Amino acid sequence: MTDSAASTRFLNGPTVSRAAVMEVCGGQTHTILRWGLDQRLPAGMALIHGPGCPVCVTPLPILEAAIALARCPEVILCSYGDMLRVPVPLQGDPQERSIDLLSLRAAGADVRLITQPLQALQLALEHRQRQVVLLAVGFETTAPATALVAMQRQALELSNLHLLVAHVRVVPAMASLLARGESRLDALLAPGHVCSVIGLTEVEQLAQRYARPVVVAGFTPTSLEQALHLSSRMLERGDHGVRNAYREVVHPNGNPRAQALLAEVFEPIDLAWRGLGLIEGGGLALKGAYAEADVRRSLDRGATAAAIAPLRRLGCALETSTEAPGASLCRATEVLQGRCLPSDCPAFAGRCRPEHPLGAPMVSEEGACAAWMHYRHTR
Amino acid sequence: MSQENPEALIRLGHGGGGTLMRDLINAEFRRLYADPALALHDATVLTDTSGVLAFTVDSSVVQPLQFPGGDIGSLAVIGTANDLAMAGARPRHLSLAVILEEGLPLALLRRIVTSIAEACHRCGVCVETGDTKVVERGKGDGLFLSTSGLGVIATPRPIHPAGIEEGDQILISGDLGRHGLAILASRHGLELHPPVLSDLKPLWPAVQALLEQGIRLHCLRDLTRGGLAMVLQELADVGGWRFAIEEEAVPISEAVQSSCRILGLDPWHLACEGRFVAIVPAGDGDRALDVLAADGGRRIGVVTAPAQPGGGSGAGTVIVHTPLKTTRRQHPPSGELLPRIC
Amino acid sequence: MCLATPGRIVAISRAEGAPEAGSDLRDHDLWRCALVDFGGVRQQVSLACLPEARLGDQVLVHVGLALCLVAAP
Ligand code: SF4
Repeated sequence: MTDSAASTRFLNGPTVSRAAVMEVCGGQTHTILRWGLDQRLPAGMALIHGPGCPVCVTPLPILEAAIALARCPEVILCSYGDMLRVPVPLQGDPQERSIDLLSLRAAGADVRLITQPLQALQLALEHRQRQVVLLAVGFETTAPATALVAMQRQALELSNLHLLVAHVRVVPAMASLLARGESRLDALLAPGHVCSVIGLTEVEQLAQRYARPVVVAGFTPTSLEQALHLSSRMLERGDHGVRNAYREVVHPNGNPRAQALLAEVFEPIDLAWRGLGLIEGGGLALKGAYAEADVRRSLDRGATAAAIAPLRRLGCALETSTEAPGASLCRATEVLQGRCLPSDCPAFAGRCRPEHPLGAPMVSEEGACAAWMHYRHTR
Repeated sequence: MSQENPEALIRLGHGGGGTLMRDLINAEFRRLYADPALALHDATVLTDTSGVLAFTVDSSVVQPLQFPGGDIGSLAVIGTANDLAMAGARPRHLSLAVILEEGLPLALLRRIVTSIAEACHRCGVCVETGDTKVVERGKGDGLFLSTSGLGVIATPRPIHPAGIEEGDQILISGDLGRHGLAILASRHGLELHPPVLSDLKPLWPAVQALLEQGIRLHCLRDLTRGGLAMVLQELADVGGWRFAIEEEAVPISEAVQSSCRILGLDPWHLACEGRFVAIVPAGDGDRALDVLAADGGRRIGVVTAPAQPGGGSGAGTVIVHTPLKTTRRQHPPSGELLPRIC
Repeated sequence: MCLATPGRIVAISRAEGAPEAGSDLRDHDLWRCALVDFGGVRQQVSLACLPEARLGDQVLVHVGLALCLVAAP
């Protein structure tokens, strides 16, 4: 049957002679599985689905703070749709139960779904008596929009708007995967939309340092196939370096204005990604005058002070927590590192399903487990 | 009553059973009945009930109450009538329960009742019995409707998913997702240009046309919440079938495609209110398509075989063949449709 | 990651609720907005990161922010 053939091609097991290519980005994982691109890979290639879903890798302390803040009556918590479903383990619950922002909303918390961060600014303008918290997630693609919010907030002196920042940086994560060498990665597809912001310099340095082919890829099936074929040719020739298969969008210098916005508002920090552990330079934090908007400062008072306590664990080397509810079962760490298939997880499609995810990769449709469930799973 | 005051609002007293309520019913709802002059009683007696009956119930909760191409009133009536049509029944009788929230503008209620009357006319149904309640401000979303419908079966036997057979063809009556999009767009501030109207419409005329052509209808199902993905999975599950669907054959408008791209949604998950899937024997496929094609109907796939050797229920499989000559399984949406950023 | 859609700029304006324009050019960019058409769907997006964007340009939009110009393929 076609499906088992596809899995064999995907699996690392019997494919020792195959080249392992990782698409880092969850959006690309989604396209690949939805269009079955893994069923028509260039000969001798196997795919590994990487950790590129910001929803999936958001550190638990941030999620715990978001939950605790949403419980405060004066708070309006807003975030993106996929973020609202992430299960957060209830601290010290013997039955390992979890909660998410949508269930909090059902219980009366003021949780709002937004599709653009500027909507948070609008909410803060409309509800001057309430405290609006923007749970800001995403890679370098999304971070400029958050930076814009921070700058507009300052210009408007909107002191009731607060940022809970969980932005992560993609190249440090790619470097960390290559440096560990736990999984054999022969080539990488770099996420095109991140590169449209940051340009190719950082990616180029990575490719040289680890002597790997890196191809910048778009998100349509055609664009991804071109990128896969390009990496296959590079692998055959033993080339390394960066090739850009998404020229219509990615300029080698990226977007200097967006970079300037990022540099103005954020600074890189070490951050423990959920499922991957501490990544040097793997996150972004508000800096300088913009740190005023950080919930850690702006809400460190009254009833919200206790809510932000979990954030103290951030950036701490020990906070490599990958624990999801049913932690004993969830193999998210291995899945995100390409060391096993979602279907190898004992909870997959049983205790863990999109309607009650045990681990982060089952939450967003970009998550490797959810995409696998949607488009591959036989019941 | 307060026709003179354009700003009149529903008050708790409108549900209190007194003269205020009587006046509201007389002014707003009485016109919905087959004989508006008839004195209302606690129960209605139906005489036109010869034959086999289909019976269904529906509740309507939608925000916004008015959306491009319809409102909660037309949605309630047409939705209920369509459920009857999907069982092969000509819709006949309707009950209508109205739960009003204190503070609802009377003018808005009047517009919705007018739309209920028009929808009844389009569907060929009459409101036979009704009920009105008012809840305190903050305890209802403006207006909730609950309808039940009775219809008379017009097919040789009632239509049910158990009628699906191996080799049957799967047809869809039109393009996907315009109702879901019209609602989502107003919720997420998408301006549609030109505007996209809900696909809301009565389905009985199409079913009747199929029957007049002598098409053997093995199964019908309207594409409401959960969209095409949910409907196919449910139908495949009933008999443990394997469906093979050609992705390219599924009609989706450009506006629906682009909005789904922006919101990160799958058009197969969007609700429709005027589309259905028809499953017919292979020999009837072409003629059925002739009937449905005028409205954009297409043949989208076939029932290939039992999913598991020996068949059985609860284990159907929907396999989608992509234009890239690959396959995937299509899973139904798991719950609320949430726009993604990733 | 990073769902982004290309669309065409059909109008350019200043963001609603923006403070009185300052003399600073950067300040002006911060509030620059466009109405972008995505095959029939229109959305207000920020041009803060694309000062060079003009009417009729194709831009790639992510979470309400235009990220870059899209070259003709
Ligand atoms: S299937 Fe669920 S439990 Fe298993 S690794 Fe994926 S997210 Fe974790």
